[in-house]
Amino acid sequence: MRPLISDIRPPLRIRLLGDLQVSTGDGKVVPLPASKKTRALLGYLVATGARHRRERLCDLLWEGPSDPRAELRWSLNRIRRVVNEARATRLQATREFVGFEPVAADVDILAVRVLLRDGPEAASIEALREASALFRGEFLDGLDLFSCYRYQEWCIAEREALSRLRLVVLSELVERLAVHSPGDALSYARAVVSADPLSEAGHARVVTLLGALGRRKEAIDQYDRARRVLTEEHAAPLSGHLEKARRTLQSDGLVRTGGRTAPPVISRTPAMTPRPPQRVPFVGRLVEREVVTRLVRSTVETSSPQVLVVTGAPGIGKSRLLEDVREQMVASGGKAVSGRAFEAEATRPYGIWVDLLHTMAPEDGGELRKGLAALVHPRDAPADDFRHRTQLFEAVAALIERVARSIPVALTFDDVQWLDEASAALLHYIVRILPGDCRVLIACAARAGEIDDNVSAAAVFRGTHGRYVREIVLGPLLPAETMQLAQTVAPESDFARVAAESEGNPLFAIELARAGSNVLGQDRTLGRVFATQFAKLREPTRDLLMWASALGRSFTLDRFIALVACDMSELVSGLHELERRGVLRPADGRTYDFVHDVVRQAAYAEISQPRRTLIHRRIAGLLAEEMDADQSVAADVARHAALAGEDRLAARACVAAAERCLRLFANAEASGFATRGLRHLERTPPAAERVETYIGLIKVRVLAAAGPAMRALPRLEVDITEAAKQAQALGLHASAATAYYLLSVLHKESGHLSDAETSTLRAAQAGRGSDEVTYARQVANTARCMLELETDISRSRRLIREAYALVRPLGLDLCEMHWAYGLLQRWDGDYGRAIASVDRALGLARAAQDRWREYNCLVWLAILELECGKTSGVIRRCAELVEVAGKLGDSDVPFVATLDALSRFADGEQGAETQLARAMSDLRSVDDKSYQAYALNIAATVYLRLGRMAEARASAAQALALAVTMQRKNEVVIARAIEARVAAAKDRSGALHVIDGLLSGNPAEISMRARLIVAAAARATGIPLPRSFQRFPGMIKNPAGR
Amino acid sequence: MTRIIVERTFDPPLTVEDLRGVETRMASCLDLYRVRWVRSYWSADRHRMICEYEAPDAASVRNVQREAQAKFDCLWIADVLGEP
Repeated sequence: MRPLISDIRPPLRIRLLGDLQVSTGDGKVVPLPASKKTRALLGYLVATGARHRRERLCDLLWEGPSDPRAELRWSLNRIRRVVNEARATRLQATREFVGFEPVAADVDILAVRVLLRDGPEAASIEALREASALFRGEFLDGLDLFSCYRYQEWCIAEREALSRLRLVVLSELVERLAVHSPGDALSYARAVVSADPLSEAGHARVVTLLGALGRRKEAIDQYDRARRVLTEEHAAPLSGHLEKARRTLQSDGLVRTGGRTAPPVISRTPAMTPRPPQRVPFVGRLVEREVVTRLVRSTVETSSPQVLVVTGAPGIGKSRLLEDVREQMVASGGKAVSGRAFEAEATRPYGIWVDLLHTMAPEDGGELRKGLAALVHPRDAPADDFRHRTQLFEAVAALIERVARSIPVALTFDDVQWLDEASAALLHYIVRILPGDCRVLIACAARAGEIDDNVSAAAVFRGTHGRYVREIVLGPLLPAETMQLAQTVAPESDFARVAAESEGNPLFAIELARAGSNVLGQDRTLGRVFATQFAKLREPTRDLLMWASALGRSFTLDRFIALVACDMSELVSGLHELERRGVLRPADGRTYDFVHDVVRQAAYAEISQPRRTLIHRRIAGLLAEEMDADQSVAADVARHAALAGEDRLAARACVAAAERCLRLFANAEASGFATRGLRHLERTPPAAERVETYIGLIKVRVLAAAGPAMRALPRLEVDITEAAKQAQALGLHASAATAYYLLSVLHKESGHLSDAETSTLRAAQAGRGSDEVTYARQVANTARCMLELETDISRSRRLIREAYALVRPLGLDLCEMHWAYGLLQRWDGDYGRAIASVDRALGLARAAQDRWREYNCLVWLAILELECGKTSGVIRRCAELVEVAGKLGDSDVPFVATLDALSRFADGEQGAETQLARAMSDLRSVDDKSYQAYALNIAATVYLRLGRMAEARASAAQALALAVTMQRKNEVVIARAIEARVAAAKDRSGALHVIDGLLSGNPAEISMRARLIVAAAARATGIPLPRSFQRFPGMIKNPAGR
Repeated sequence: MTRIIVERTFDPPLTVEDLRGVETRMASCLDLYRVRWVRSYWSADRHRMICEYEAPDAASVRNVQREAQAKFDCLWIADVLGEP
């Protein structure tokens, strides 16, 4: 694909850092498509600068619609109009590939990459300044698409990477400017702490720079503020940078502010004085209001249901018109209830309906409300009252009809471009099913363009055109109307200029009027106007604003209090200030909300990416505490956890949210949550919880698709079978039973009835099998303990056989089984198999994240390798052991240190003997006599090999005393054999007597290792071996003892 | 034989059912490791417990706790002063 340029023009400017913006070379902003997905696609193509297959772009943004390629074609057509010029074809598209060529185009992130091509450290100060100036906001700010998780993951990753780069650039500037231009450096240092409020070093730099500039009081204030943010709000550990910076300040004449920040001094002119947000009167819209009047009259007088759809750009007055619908209905003697969709809740089933049904008065049918309890009061919900979706829909329709019989009612739905599929289906049902004599007026508002991104919502209104649906497309106010609006809101404002600059958008006009003359003429967007207003808020209030915007929807005061870490007076004062400034409003007696979603987005855009992660993590954690009792918050938890990068919590929340969706027959949403949950699960480490969560998500996927006339079942038999086995091995019997049940569903749906029956039986067995598996585990564990303690080995053999007989039919893999078996194989001298068995047990322990078993299996593997003479293996295992012990909370592991020292000593390593003495001393101090006896015997065999008889004898003697105390027969035998062998040089007859005694014992009562050492002692002293000591099946050539 | 003290704290408080579960799991382990439980002191608010054992060594008691999945904070060897 070759670019076409035939003349030189000012370049097209494309901004990806901050709100997506395209402007011509002369600074004129090019209107972007209303569709958010189209804008996201534009951002993606420009940012990646690569060619993409059409299928990939479809998967990125349009998974689900029946014709994603058509959606893509439509979006590309819109993008062409924005980026292509007559002589510059920037969007390059063929039948297979699509790409963006930055021909004669300035793209901010490309400029950043050029400026920093050799790395920030190598860039000049001018280049760093220029790069820093290009970071006008977070990458593709506001273009999150939570339902398109592939795109969302890419966007978040890019955003975080660029956020980190910005921090590096700012930090580099601070370092370079600090000495000669501290004032300059200070502005960059403040930008660092604003972006990364948990950077203690960043705060310390601000304190130091303020001190260098002689602004000591501000430095102290900054120090106090930093301490509060770091220690009180985020409990972050301090490294000392901040204290060090504080100490560098001179101590003469400092004034403390008592830990609280004094509000910044805001210079105000009368024009900027915030006004209490009065109720803005309706200005203009006479034609539209007349339509509303006729519809209300028609509903009330002629008793026929009416549907009104209002569309328009953000801030154009759609919500105000809906409010007028409600007011006119109430004035006509009727009733009005409302619901609002939130972008953050676009996957929460029936979210908008829950709000609406909540506002129905008790006299509207206690019985009917009881039936809808699962929707309205999830905490108190009884067992499901409905068998399928239609029954739920019928119940809602019956409730509305019953209300409408006694009083005309207006149902208003705001921001329906964010309707979830279930809500859209219910609305469609209500619109279709209402009887002809029902006094209901349904009024919906949607952002033009964005509603096309929501296939379900768009289908509601496309499918019901004709008799009932009336559409109003709201355009800009007339200039005179805009001036009137501005004058009403702020009489002192330059309302003519406000009207001109706002271009008839009422919200923009109101904010420009309130902001005053200092923002006029600066070609600001609505978002930037709000940002200017936010900057005037007190800092504690800005913090509250930050938390409120991250919540993503209206919030109750209780939840807000639990979330923000400030005292009640601060909270009340802050909320009051936000109300006065027209940022928040009480939605009803219990909740607050932003006056407009644009305000929320503008507030959120002010939060840096690192801070967003922290905030969402805290919100997710808070909501997760409620999740078990109230599944309706699960969707919120999933969203916040995803934004915080908490994959494990997000996966768990997706299970809960998906299950709730299934119960409410919102199968599309359920399937969506299951898919998202599986993506999160891919990024979590293996653990018992992961298996359980996986089965929960697969269950939803299967059940959401199962049944008549549903989409094709996913091909998951292999994955589910494997998950079932893992669940059984981990003792998760309920999950295993679920998995087998799912298999039976899949087999049944695909017509494999005998397989379905088998799976059903296995499901039942898994459910019952808890007792058998638990028993088998206990039996194997007992066998393993006996082998470790070297007691009743013949019984332990029987127990191992019994456990094996129990688990074999179930196809299970138990850690205890392999562990016990490995120790038995060691006893029998079959070291090769012993290592393999214990290694298998180790793998199972790790899979279950059972640190204690993992530790013990590793200890045994180290012992086995030591006894095989594999000293390098022992050293490696010991390193692993130290790490695992740390996770167990044990920093001190003297036996591990002893094993390490023994293997080095056996290898003849310099200094190992001293190391061994220290380790043995530590082992003594923790009073572990069994390990001491073992280690002393190993040391004795090494001394013996080295010909150091005195040390060999001393070690063996100590080992013997300890082994007798602990009744460790093997170590007793080994110690005595070594002692006798050493003593033979001076007292041959005594030694022979001892060895003879050892040889006459039953060899089955001691391990192969002990037998080999006794046999070696016999050979060394010339005593013939009895036949029982001559057979050593399965032994290796050189056991330790050499 | 050595006297070993095991200290435990519980949050939330230990219930009687939890205690019975631990006792059941611990019974067979005690015999295997030749550990004798002597007595325990359980705080009235059920948040703390101190257990006294007699055992060949401290490691035996530690192993019993781990095998029985009995949560503990620390254990130490004790000399008994006063009544045995």
